[in-house]
Amino acid sequence: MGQILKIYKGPAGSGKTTILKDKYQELAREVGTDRIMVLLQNAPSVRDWKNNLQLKKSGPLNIFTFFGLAQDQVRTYWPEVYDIEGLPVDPYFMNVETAHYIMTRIVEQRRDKKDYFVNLNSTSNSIAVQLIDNLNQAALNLLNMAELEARLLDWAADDTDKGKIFKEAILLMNQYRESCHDHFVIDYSLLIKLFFRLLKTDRYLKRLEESYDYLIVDELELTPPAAQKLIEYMLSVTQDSFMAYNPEGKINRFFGGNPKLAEKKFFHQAEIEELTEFYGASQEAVDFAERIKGRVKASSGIHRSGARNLEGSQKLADSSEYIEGRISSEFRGDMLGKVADEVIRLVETGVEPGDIGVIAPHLDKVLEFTFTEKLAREGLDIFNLLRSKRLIDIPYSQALLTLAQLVYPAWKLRPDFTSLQQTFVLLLDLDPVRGAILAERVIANEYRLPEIDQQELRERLGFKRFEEYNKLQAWIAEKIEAEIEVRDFFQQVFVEFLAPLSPDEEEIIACRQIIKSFHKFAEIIEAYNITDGNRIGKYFISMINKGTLAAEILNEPGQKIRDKVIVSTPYKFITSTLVDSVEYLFLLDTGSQFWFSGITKELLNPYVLSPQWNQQANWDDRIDRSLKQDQLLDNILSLIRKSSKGIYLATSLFDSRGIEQEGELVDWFI
Amino acid sequence: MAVKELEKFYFSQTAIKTYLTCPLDFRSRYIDKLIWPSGYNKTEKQQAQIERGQVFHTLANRYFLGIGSQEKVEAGSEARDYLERLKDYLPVEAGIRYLPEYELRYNQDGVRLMAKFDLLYIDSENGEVIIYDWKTGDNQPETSYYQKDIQTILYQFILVEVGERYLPADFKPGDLKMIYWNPNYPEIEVEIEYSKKQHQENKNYLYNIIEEILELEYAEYAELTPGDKCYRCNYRPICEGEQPEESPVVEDDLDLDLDWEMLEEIKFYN
Repeated sequence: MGQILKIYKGPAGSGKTTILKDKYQELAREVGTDRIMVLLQNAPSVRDWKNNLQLKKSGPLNIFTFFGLAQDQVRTYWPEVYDIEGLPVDPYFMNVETAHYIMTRIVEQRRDKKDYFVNLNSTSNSIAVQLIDNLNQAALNLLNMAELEARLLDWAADDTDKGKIFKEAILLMNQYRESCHDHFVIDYSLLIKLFFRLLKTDRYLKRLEESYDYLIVDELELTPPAAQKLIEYMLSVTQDSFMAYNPEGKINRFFGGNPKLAEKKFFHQAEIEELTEFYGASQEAVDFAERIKGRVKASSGIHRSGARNLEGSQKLADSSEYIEGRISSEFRGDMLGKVADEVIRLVETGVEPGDIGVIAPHLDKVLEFTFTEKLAREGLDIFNLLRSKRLIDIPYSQALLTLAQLVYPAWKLRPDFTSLQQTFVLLLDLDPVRGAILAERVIANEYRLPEIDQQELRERLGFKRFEEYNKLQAWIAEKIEAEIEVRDFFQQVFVEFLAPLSPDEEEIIACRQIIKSFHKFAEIIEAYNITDGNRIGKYFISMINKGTLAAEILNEPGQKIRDKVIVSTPYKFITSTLVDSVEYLFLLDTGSQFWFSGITKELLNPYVLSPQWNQQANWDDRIDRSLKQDQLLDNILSLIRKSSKGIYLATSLFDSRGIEQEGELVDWFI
Repeated sequence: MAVKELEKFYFSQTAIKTYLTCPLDFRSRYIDKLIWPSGYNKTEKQQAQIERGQVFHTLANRYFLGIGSQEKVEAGSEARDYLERLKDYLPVEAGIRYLPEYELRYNQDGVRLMAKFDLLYIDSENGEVIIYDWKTGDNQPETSYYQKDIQTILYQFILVEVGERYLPADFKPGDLKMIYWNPNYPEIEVEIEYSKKQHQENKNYLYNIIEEILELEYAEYAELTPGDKCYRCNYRPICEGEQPEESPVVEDDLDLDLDWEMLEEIKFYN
């Protein structure tokens, strides 16, 4: 049925999304928004499209991510999804954290019998995460359970121990999947499976055909095979389609995205318009990135670390002018200090702090402390793209969790000194010193708020806060007495203690994230009839402490970081919507092996599950190294293209642990 | 959301109703975004009523979409009874266009409005257009109440302004009706007519309210608080440091849930 398939091809910043948005609005005025399906790659993009439409009149906005669409359709057509009596009105959708919890229980139950994963040292939680990732990767690559098993056994090849472990893994994945079916609980992988069940029925396809005339897809290169299959369906039932493709956007490759397959499936049937102008990176950055790419691609042989051996390949020569500076020291602390000095110097010359990015493959406390301390002395602040996402770092959400640990002593979780101190500072409006005094007293009193009848402590806390303290103490005692449900507890803390303190938007969202997540978590646990209440609370808190559950801070487009120096890991920096580009980029620890991140774990190998997997090939170190190399090159190129004036390279002979750094990334820039 | 961001905000019937009831309540919900999860401060009976209403709306949506196999769904006897009453009340007929759970948005002259209709019923052959809205509360519907209700004013206005793509060719505001129906009172139909004159009045009314809201400074919301309904308000702990009495069940905004319900992108753990 498709008449026109047009693909706009160009690098980041070439205006592809703007063209698609304009096309959407033009079509919407013509046929109405309800006749157009738009597929985007992430939730912030969906919000951006919806919030910034310039349409005087609009009907339903069918603007989705692939998962959003799948969820919407499975929920709407739920009675047609399962051919079974006794369905609940709506399915239960399970987020990935809850899926980990359920799978962890299954793994633990087996390991308790000491007959599964005998030779694996990993924790049950770590195994569970890999099993869930396997299911998700398989679903994104449209593999059923038998195919998943076959691929894993291919990977094991002649290693019988490994083969045995994979067979055990498959049995547990099947058990988990069955339990999802039994309870009508849907995780990501099952969601995809059920959505495709719908897509295979004539009835549903006919509805799609009747509902849509046009399809628009942005960032086609990031789509996984499952989304590409949906696009194929849509092409068969719609009139015209418009898509955008970034040939350099390979960053999503090991997260399910498959640009090669997208090219193979769609390019031959499309009219392709190349967009050569771009507005993000500078021409110098692009030229420099091309030189790096050419140099690495032209080389042969791979070093044991994963980097190619560049001997004999052409050096960077003139284009190395894009390298603003090289900083090297014997010890890492000195190197970090020198980088901080250079950042300060740049700001003094008029560069905005937000136009400076400091990228390291591993952000440790040493790095963060050095930067924070040194820059703070000059009145500069850093914005850590990783830490900004952790709920535990936001005092309001931390207070929610700290109070929960005080009210539910049966969880046997103890808030640490800092959490207690900060919670008291926030709730009782104390200064840090008095907050610390109180935290010490609470710890000494076995995590119960002590009676303040001692004159000395009263005086130290201040009489003014005395009443507030008593109120908090009484409130906690009342909640313990009432044995209040945890889901209600979080809500009550927020309403009764935190909201009156005028939290800002980020703080409100963080608290709501906890309340909402626990509600969802508890809903699934209820569906499974799991009654180990203590464990649930414990698991939930530890999940947040580990940073597994992230605060999705809803930054509106345009709210970019301007006044803080950006500190990040490569992947976070490349994918962050908070940073379009910076002027100067510092690449730290270029001698570190951390730059070469592997894609495989003991039970997970995304490459083996991808359509590109050649079943004749055996997985060996050479393939592993080559893939690491490709991933690193993609990362480096994406990083450079997110800069406009120059890069700095910083390395030290020894890392923070005193180990000599021998990574070859340094050689790429010679 | 800062006050300035209200310029990008699409006002729903709940948002306008909230403002008319208490501007400070509006500020807390829509500007400060202090949105409590729906179960806060509700009795079990109220919670059950909310859930019953949600289930009924889901079943009604599927019924008008023509989704089969609804008998497989264990919806609870009361919700199922509701659905049966709905089928008796409004059997699906050939030649009629049914648009359930349908959202329309209006964005002109700096005024942004949105409506999510429970059902749009369009009979092009006979030139009949009906907005249906399902109520599931215990109270018997009163015509005089719904006549003046902001939902009626907003929904009729938006459909006439935005719905031309769906409406019969020679449609006039006089061809539109809005009907409130409650399966607890299946014999009662609250029907509200419309007219060109009413449409102009509604437009003026809505424009005035939105203009008034958009002109307010942050602090002015508090100054406009009526102060006589506070004892049942969810925000009482913030305004007065007191617990609210049992708060009434209000139809909540579906658009508020967008940020909550959007399935987060899949992530793999490295």
